[in-house]
Amino acid sequence: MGRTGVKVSNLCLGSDNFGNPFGCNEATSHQIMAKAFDAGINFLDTSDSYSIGDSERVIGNYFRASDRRDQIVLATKYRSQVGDGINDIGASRYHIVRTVEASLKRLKTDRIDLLYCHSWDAETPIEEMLRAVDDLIHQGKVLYAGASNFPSWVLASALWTSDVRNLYRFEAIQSVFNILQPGLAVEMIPLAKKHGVAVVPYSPLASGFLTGKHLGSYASDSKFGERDDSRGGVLKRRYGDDLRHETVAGLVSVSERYGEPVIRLALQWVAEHDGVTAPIFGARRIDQLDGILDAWSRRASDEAMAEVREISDEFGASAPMNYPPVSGQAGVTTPRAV
Amino acid sequence: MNYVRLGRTGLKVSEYCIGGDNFGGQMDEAESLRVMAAAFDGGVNFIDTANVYEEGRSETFVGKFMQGRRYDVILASKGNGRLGLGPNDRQVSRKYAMQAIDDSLRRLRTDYIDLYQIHDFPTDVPVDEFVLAYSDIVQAGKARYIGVANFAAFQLVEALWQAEKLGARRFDCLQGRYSLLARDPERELLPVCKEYGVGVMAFSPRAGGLLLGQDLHFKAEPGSRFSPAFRHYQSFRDTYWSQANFDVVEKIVAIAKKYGISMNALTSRWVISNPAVTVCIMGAHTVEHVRSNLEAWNEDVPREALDEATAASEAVRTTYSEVTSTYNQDQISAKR
Repeated sequence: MGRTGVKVSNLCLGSDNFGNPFGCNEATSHQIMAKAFDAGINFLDTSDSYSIGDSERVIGNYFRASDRRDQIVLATKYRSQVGDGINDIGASRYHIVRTVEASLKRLKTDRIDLLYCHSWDAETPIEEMLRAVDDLIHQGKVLYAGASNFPSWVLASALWTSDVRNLYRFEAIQSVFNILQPGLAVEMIPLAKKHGVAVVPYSPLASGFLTGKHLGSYASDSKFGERDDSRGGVLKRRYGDDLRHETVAGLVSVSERYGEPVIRLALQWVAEHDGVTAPIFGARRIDQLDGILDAWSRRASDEAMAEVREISDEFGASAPMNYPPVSGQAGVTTPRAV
Repeated sequence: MNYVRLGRTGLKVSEYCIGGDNFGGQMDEAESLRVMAAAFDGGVNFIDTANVYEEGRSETFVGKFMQGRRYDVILASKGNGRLGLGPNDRQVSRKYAMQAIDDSLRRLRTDYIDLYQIHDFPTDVPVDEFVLAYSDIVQAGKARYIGVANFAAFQLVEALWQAEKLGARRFDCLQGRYSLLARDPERELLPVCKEYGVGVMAFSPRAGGLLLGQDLHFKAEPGSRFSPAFRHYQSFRDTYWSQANFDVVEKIVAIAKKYGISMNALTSRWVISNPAVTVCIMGAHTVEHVRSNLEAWNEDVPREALDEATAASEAVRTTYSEVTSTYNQDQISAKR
């Protein structure tokens, strides 16, 4: 993983579906983990905020009932809102220590292998956050530190602080990256590559939009259906314009001509970007996991991928620059009065 | 004219900085000197040039202008660009930096530059090497302050990081393209400069003239930056000429009309009204341009007009503008 010595599979299982009313129940979650781990995946990603803690609980129960905990590199996150209190959010020392203790209880384990800051907290000094995590590492509660959704300059600032203060540094960056959201490749991936930081992209399939199944209409039981409506239509706004529909239609055409599943093309586009460590995928049904594992079982031809890259380059030339993600843009300045 | 601190430094500069990339190009020596004199008469005290501008002619003309008033001029120049065909004639290694500063000082006929910048991130040189080289230039008395131009936000952070670690002088200013048609710096560059107290010099605040309502719809006016008579016209066309940008400019023209203000005032005030921006670099190729720029600079621009312009440019706000220089490193553009 990046410059570290720990080995992770080049595909990471995401768990924001586990225990989620729009996702899957505990039994299915356990089946998904068992099958994914059987297939060789050893990298599992969750967060203190997924399904209000139920994702971690479901994972903790699975580890208790199986003997697999020590085979898995387990990642979780802090920073999101997890309660009503004024300090139940953020990257303060106060919140990090408490939320990590709660995560350990839910996960029923003694340590978190990789602990991400879920997004930049502009109201906490970088050094406070890094020192809190550094102390958790010294205590043995956390093994590696990571960052997620950070602007590139903030990751660089954090690496600087760790360097000059002799603190454990961020060894992984997790952010959105797919054919329709290519912004990570502009600044972040070159920065991460230069400093040996692992890049762990999420949403390689654009929440399912890159499967092509949403081209006609949005399936109501998908992430673009009721679940998206309940969040105010974030995904439909992000992906549902003509340019993106055309791009996906182009990928579907490549898929049909070469007999390669679209998800193979989309996943491979992410995974084969120089500097990428392991894309994160999610599944809420066993057949979705089967689709991913089948896509991952072999590579699409160079000819097919050349066409995919042509389509993605064309999209990238006219697409808006979308990194850092909006949630991470706390520092954006707006014009002041004259 | 307002005079503001350049980032966290104690140096006061006028908010309006004269851009020197036309001296010796679209302007001959006499007109260049008149342009500088007119700007200084209007309260400007800040000139920005570079070793690559018109193969050194820009620096030479600025040097002539400064005779007899060196202390009253805040002089900014930059190093990078190809000096010749040799392997060390490009990229800011220590060897290049030490040659380039002496060449610039000779052309500028002075023994110090107030703000000496690196023109583009040197990809083939370790960060600590150019940080220490520029720091040594300050310590040798050849520059007062140092800055960067066209760096990505994380590259600036890498440079500040090395300076702190090595106890070196740090870069206190960043120069980048910023306007209603180039808002990419709002993603990362402006926040990072604000965080670290690094001054921001915005160049092309009027997008090469497009934001004055000129050169729209792929028709270049004679003598403009988009006309083939201008040596870098292709770079301006590649950067700005798109239907989406023309649509935005037409909306802004309507806003200027509605409030009875000039496009020049609306679009340049918009740039300087961002709290992260320190100065606007304004080019000109006639004395008349300078006079109309100064007039525009003193116009009252209502807050509502700025807000409406912000909203009008929303359609192109997230257009990514690649951090590259106009100056092709494969061509010899600077002189020893």
